[in-house]
Amino acid sequence: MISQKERFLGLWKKQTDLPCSQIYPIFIEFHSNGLHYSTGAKVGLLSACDTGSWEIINSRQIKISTISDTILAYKYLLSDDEFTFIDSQGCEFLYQKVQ
Amino acid sequence: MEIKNLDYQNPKVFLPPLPDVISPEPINESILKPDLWANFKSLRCGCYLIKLTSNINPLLVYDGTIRVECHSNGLSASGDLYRRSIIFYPQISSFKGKFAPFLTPAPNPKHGIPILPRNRYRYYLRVTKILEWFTFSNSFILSFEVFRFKTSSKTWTNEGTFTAQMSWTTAPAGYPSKSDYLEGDVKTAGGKVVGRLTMGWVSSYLRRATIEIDRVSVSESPLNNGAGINWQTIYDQVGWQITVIESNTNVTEPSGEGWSDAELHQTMLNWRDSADLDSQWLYHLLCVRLLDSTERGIMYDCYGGDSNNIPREGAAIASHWMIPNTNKWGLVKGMRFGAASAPYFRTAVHEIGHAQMMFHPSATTGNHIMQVTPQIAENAVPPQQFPDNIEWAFSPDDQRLLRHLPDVVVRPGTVLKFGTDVAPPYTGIPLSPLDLAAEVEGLQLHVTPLLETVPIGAPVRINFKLLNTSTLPIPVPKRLSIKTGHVTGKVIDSSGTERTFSTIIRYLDDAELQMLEPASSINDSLTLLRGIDGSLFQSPGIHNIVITLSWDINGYLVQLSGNTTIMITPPIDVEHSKAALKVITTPDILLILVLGGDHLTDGIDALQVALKSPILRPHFAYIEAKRVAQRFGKRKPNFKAASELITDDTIMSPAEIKKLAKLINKEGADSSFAKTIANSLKRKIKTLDVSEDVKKMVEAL
Repeated sequence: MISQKERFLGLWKKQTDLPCSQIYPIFIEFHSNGLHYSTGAKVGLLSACDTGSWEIINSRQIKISTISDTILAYKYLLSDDEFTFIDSQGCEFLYQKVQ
Repeated sequence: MEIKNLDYQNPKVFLPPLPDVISPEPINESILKPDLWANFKSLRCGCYLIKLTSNINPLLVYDGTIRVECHSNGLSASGDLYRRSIIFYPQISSFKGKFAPFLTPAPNPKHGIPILPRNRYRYYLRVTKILEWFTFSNSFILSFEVFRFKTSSKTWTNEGTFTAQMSWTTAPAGYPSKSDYLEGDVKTAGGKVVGRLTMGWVSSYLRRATIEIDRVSVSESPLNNGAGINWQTIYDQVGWQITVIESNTNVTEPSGEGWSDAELHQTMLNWRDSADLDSQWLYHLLCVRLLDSTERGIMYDCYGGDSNNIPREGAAIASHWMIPNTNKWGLVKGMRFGAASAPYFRTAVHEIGHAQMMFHPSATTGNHIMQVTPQIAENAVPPQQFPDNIEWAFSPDDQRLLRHLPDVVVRPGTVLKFGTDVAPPYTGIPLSPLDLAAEVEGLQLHVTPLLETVPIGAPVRINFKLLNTSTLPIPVPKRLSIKTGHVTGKVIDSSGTERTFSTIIRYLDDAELQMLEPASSINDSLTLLRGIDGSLFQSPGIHNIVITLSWDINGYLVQLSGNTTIMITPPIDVEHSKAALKVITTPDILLILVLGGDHLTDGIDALQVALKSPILRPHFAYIEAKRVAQRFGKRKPNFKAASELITDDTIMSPAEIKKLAKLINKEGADSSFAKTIANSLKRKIKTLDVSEDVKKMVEAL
């Protein structure tokens, strides 16, 4: 059975363009070594992710480090090729697996 | 500089560009006679205190610095100007109530690099011409672009290029060197004198700052790495003079061992020695046992952690975080962080780097200061173990930024917020080449379009060749595909609008180099459609395409650029017009081009619309053929569909021919449809300038 962590591995693209989601990267790539690489947050806003660490807390929460080295927890809902993040402000945004 | 009634309404850049490398001009050997050497003059490296006085209004005076960086590839220089305050005193001889304006005192050169009030900041100076090596005359021409900073909108406006014939003269009292002082009239591009500039050398450093360290009693002060590297050692490399103050050693814990961001910020406000950021660039570092919001360290003074809305004043590190007891962490596994001097000190510098507006790198390679700690641990290659693989320096990119970004970007407590107002990759800044970027003698980059005219909506295919014309082998990247990250570029349309492009996916293992032998070349191609700013070819007309190759040779960035021009032709009919619009407005079509797949339905829809247009179909047929010829999930490769798309009319670059040949080899060499495609490819290579490896691969199909 594939673990929750394994299901996150790979490259994901953001599908939501809500104003509250624009601070988050367009692409995020989760690697098995616990690091992520992200690009494409809009200019002038918080590039919430760039290069840093990530870790599954449980089946509903994930921790991701940010550009200022804070580690933030997000709720998530994961299906086969999509996951939805919910940040602490209640902003929900969808990512789809591209690779 | 026209120091009056300036138009600040239409800022065009977010941050001003950094200075170019000013490459030395060849020296005429005939002038190198020994008797002349007694009289030559050269510009001393370091920080100059400058003063610019308007010739229209003598009370309009700007003080600041010019930073002159000397390095092996030439000079880089930049500067900042702050407007001098005016105060009003009663006139002794006048009627009661009359006041006369007076300038406040100038910065004292005896104090070295001046620290000027943040609210007086006005201009960034991008020096474009300066004395390279030496002169036998008593003067040289200084040219600089002037960028006005508008605090309310946090925008920069380029107000033009100015020049000054700077002549040496004896420094006034107070300057540390009498012979390193110059003056000259400042002129507009039209030759109108608008002011007078003085510049006197005050320090061999470029900038100066103070780091105050406060700690709880059980936390260590991160003063060095335990092996001779300290704060000044690291900042010497970027020309910053650093004063470290070990201040309070018994800061009280507000709520136990763990600290929230709010507690860190409040403790900085309560305990730091001074809050006056207008007389010193003070960065505060707090050492505590544990941090609530992260593990090792944090620059908490941003976003919600910045309760006083004065950004980037402080950072914190956690001495009692336990390093995981796994092999990845090498020599320090299982240790308390504060007891592991090297990584603990490194994190402290890293967090202060954030306070100076430095960001994590976008690459996994490089173990420099702004790299994230787990990545450095990951990067250790046995027998070397973490933390012995830490590089005790900022990356070459960050070094340039720390030397030459405007004061308001790097100094603490300005209006510019970390990540919110300035974010990597400093987008919007027309950045000049890196000052450590070297052009390797003998390498040439030839850029040519596959088609010189392309209908609007179609991707543009560009071929490029990296050629070694020298007599020695030169290390170059093994692959030049855009996915390697070595290739970036921009497209400039006929209105002058620039749109940049780079990879959307990094292939992390492609940093390897190969030796390019003399008279050898490597070829590759790009298929351009969209960049970070949207469609690269949005309107008909001439487009200039600039391609830049960059790679790292032993820590030195090598860059090489080439360009070519193409014509985008207007829509032929309504069908073409609609299809072009669909392509231009559908971002996901780029992902189809790069990744293929069946899941990006918006992109596939746009691709199908393009394929229905007789004008665009030949340009998109390969993209669809590649997509369907690749398996996706449970779907098998469909070479039948692909063979119907690859005809003699299908437009393909050599790189695309190679990719399709690889696909046939991998997935369907035995299928009759694949053979049909192979025959098409064989006919294509006869009409194109393709490299030997592509020819061999196709002919072997």
